[in-house]
Amino acid sequence: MTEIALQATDLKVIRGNKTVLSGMSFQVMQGEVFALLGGNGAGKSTTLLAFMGLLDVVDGRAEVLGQSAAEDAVAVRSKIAYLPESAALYEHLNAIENLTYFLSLSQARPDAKALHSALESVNLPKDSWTQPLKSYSKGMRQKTAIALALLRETPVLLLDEPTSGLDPAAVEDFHKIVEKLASIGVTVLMVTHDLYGACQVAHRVGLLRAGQLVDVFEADEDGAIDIAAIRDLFLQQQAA
Amino acid sequence: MNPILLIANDELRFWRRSKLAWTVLTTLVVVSVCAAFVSNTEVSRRAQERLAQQAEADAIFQAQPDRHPHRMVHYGHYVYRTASPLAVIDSGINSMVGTSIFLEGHRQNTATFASARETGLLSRFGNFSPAFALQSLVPLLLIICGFASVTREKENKTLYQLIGQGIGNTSLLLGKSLALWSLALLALIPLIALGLSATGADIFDFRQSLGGLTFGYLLYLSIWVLLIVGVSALVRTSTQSLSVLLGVWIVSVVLMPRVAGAYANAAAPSPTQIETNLRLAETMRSGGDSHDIEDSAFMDLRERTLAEYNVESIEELPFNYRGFVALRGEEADTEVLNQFAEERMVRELEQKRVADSFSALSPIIAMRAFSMALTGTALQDHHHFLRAAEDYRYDMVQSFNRLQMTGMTLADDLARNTDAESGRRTRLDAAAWREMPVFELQPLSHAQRWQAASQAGFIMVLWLLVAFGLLLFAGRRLQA
Repeated sequence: MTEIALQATDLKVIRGNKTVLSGMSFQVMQGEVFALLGGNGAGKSTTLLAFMGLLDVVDGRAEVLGQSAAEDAVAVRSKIAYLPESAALYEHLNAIENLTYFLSLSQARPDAKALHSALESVNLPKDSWTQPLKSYSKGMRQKTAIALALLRETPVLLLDEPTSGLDPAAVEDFHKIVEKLASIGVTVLMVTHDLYGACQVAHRVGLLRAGQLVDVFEADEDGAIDIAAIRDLFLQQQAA
Repeated sequence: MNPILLIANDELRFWRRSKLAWTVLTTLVVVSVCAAFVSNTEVSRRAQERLAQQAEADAIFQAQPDRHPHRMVHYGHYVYRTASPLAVIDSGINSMVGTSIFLEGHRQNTATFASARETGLLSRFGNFSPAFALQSLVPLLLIICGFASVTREKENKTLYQLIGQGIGNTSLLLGKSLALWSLALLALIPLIALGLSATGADIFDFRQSLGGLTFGYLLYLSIWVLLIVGVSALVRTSTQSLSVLLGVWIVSVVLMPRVAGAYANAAAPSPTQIETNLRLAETMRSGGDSHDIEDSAFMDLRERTLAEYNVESIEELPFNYRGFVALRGEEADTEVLNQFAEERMVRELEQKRVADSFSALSPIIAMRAFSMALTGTALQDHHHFLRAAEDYRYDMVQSFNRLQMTGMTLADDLARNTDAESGRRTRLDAAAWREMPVFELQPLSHAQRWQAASQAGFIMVLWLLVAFGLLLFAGRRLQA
């Protein structure tokens, strides 16, 4: 039986003086890819941070595999690989050093072969692996960060605008990676502006506005999601 | 590997690849080495000078010809304070107080009354010594190196990645602190090297203090390390972190010691040197002039002495009564002088106590007190020198008075300026002053220094606990 991997229950988060999430609830099942769409300031990234236990939740709960992110943040984080919008890696280190360092912090001990395999799978040019990240383009950094997320081999993957800055071919490669991870039971929660990309890879798409989940669209039997319906609702919400 | 060590290791790797960190590290090494070199050169030069001056003073004193002993009382003698071996690390108040005293009868001179008001004793910015570098400059360099240790992770969003790997916030901050702490350890190397290479009297006793001194500086720099990382974790940007930490440095290192000194002067004021001297002269006058055996102040003494020896006149006494009056007069004068000196020392200690109470607001005040106490350059060491010099002066003067009392008759003594033969008989053999023991200051013992340093050490432990509390608080508040 499929279990709940991520569960938000009446989640309320205030950052500064602004209520960013106001009573948001949803579930993501194990092995499911759930995409959250929304405009700027809708609360997409905040939702991910709440699941990481990185924010003070005013009310409600964010749970990962049955554990509260607020109450047991360290244990929860060990089950999550998180990919921020701008690849958050060290510029003074090269790709191999970044991967080795961050993985050692999570107590993972991948060998050189696994590192190389991950970097190859995201199509990062081999001659750049030992160059400091400060010489990388945004896309190359993003690929390195994706490789790190893959190497973590965690049951949950949180992605914040994962295809931002990637070229179309890299976006296609990335979608394949996400589909592959989902097929082996990894739960993926991604937040994005990219409606078409989300509909291509996600099993369900949630539309977020002003900290609340407005609607959820599921894929049909063929795996297709009604893009037009989402787009219309999104535009309607924006106009309101 | 432990996540704390991993984070510390990566922070050090970042510094190794950072121009700013290399600049700070180079400055740290240059400052530490220069401070050690300058201090060592200066202290050695002064020590040599004092040794030479003391030897010259001893030689001149011992080379005095046959004289009347009371002329030797007024001829006087210089004694010099030899610096403690660890003064190469911390010159303390040595540069602000006298290190030589002219000893003579009926007076306590120079170092004792030259600084009747302790103006700014604790508020000076300090000499360029390893202690000054460690207390003032190293924290600044640690701030420059560490102010962005956590804010950098926030600004570059790598904090998400770090925390996302499942490490605890406290582990992250402890790792950052450990890296910064290793820089602080580097700064201590010149101190340890200087301490171990120091020479001088009682060096073995002082080496026992070196361990405590090193530990104290480690404690002090640890306070700064925890404070720097704690602030960097609490604020949002590197600019805010640098501003807050520089503000803390300016207040605690530059302003607070001056405020403490000024407040101590106001709260426990000392009379001026003129006021002190006038009051002392008045008190001394009421005790009589011991040069004049007919002074009314000594009539009681005469009556009691005649009665004790059962004689009718001072000429019948079995000793020179004039020398006896000089002996008793010096005894009474010294009692008054010591009373004034002790009053002044009590006032200075009260000023120090008031100034030290500001260590609750700034750890550098506690560190200074701790460092000066263990290096033997504190106020209590200066007072110890003054008391030892006074004891020596009193013994010297009284030995001459005893010579006057027993080495000649009253008749010769009274006629020595009018009768050449009497004058010749009252000039005593110069061997008497050649045999005078030379002045040798025994410094306070290691145990006494520890006792003096203990309160400041306790306050620094409290500061460390507060700084650690701040770090834990920052860990709980840390948000990406």
